[in-house]
Amino acid sequence: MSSKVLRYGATVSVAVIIGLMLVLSWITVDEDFPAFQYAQPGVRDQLVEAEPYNGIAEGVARFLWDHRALDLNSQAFVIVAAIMCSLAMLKAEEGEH
Amino acid sequence: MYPLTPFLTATGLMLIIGLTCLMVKRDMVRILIGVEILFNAANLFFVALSTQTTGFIDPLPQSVVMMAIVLDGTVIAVGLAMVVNVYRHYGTIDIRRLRRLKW
Amino acid sequence: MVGQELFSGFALPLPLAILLAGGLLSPIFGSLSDRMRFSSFKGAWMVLISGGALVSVYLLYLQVKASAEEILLMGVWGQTPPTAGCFEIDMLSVFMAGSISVLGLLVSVYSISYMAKESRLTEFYTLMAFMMAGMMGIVMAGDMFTLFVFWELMGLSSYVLVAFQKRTWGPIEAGFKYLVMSATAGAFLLLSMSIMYGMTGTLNFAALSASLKGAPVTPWTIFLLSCLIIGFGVKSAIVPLHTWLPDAHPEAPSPISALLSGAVIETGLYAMVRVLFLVFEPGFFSWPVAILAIITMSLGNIMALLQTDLKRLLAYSSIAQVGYMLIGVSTGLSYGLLGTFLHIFNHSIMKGVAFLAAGNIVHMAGTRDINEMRGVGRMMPITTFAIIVAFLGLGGVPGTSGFISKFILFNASLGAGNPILAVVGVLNSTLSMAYYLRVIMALLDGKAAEGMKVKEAPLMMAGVSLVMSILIIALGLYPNPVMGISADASEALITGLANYIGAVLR
Repeated sequence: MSSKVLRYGATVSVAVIIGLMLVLSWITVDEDFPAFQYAQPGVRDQLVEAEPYNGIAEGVARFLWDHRALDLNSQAFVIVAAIMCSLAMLKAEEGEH
Repeated sequence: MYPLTPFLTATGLMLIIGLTCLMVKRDMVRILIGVEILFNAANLFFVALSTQTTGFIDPLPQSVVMMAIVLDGTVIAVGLAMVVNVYRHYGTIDIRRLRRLKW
Repeated sequence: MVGQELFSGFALPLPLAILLAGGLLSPIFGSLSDRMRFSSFKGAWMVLISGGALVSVYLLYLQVKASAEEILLMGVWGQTPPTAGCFEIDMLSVFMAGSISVLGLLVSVYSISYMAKESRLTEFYTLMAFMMAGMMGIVMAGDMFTLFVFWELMGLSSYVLVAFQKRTWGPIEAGFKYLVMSATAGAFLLLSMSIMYGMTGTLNFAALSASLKGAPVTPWTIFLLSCLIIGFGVKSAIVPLHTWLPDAHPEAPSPISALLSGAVIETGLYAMVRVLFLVFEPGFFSWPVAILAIITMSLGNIMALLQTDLKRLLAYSSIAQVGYMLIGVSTGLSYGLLGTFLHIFNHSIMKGVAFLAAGNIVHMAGTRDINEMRGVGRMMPITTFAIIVAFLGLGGVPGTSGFISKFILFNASLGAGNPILAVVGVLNSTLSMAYYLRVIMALLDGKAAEGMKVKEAPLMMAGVSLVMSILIIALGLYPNPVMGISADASEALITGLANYIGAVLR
């Protein structure tokens, strides 16, 4: 019974992958990606200056700190949660060898 | 502006490779690598969109990518901790052996 | 005061701040209590912070009701929305936050006595606090990337909480399967975020809505819709993507099962409803969601008929209830969404008490098999009363709150011109009563299985079950307060959309 399940699972996965390949190739080549066509005015200004080439990284870092502070702080909490997760998974339980 | 079609092709290719790796491989660590490839397909598309401005600088998608790398790194780390525990119980990391929970 | 400045301009909504700070301080208190050998301090801290979250959700509700057009916009360090992450809180967010914190408080009180003999309790309570903080962050997010970060926080905590009892092989296998499927969904969510950014140049909800709302149907928008449904659908257990749920919910510890079924699935459904209603026209996705609703309901109920494990039966029943909620989503009307959100709140209480009462039985009798727990009901009266009320509510018997929400859902689908959904829904409700009655009859059997002699569950566990079941009956006979809030919530999503956009793009 398990080999039949494996064969069924393999067929479904191959069908999904071939279908996805066809859809993606058609959609990439035939349809134009509407890059920024729906953008509202005033949303897409030049946010970081491109001129001093060595200052680009600093400009992006400044943008990150000035405008995305919420996501930076929540990312710190995700890292703390990952540490507690690894501790919970890898700590030896009391009474175990 | 830079044409987006090569980047879209690369993203689609990484999606297909990631899904294939996820569905076909037997080793748990390779399945987690497949998940990582899927995340990186989305990150690649974000970076590709930043080529649409002059000078290739659009800080918003680049900052999203910087944070998404950390987020999926933590998920893979917890997955690897689970693989260690699976090895302690089953003695193997072949995912076809994990069939004890039936329908 | 509630949502505003904490210190030097760092403003967060108060429920989220309490849960995050409490989760951050919880390891410190945990190691302190290990040193002082006073072990129930960790559980007490968790009850304290979830009680504080519930109180602050009520204060937030008062503040949102008093502010202009009932929308509260909050940016950290005074940063303004279209390029910065923000929290945008309207009545729907307050409703979902209230539902999550009510269930969280009851589950924390329950888990003080259920998990009393486990090891690694510090990590347990910390991860539970972070999971609830993640859910609060999702319902209050005003920006797509903020939602993604809190989505990953909630998911990360729930992977490990499912695999918590790693002494046996079941939770580990279930946890790994859950992790792989949910991480794949996260990748698809990120992909759909990048497509939305590519089309509009922003990730803010209000700006996305203003840009994409009336757009014509192109193959790229269909691809975007399918990526969004895959991304949100794994977490909310829509049918082709539900296969992690029947393994993960039984193998998790019982309070975590209750939180997963009662809050995490609903938060996934809330995120899907919010994004779909903001970005697309309701007529665009109503028939795919209707087909998914029919498949989900039917598969959940049919598979639940074949189960002999009590918690696995309840897990399949959760899948069927998500199908009912999708009926309301597919109508696209404010009345249908009223049914959906009312059913979300009712389902969290009813499924919560069902899992907690099942946890009582598992804790005292040591088995999850229905055939082995014959006659246990006569020895545990409070638990049996609670589980009978929960099953009657889940089946939609009049007098419980489940009847009201199901009635509104089927009524709305008839009004939207989809009578097939109402017919299938009523048939499925009848089918679900079949397996609920089978469990009740096995519990109340006169002839007990041999060797089965159990007492009633400890006071806190039985008390929480009793309180929740009384709440179900009380809300079934007098639903007006909850119906008023959920009517405001569903109005805020459909007719209040102009206010939502106007609060950001003035």
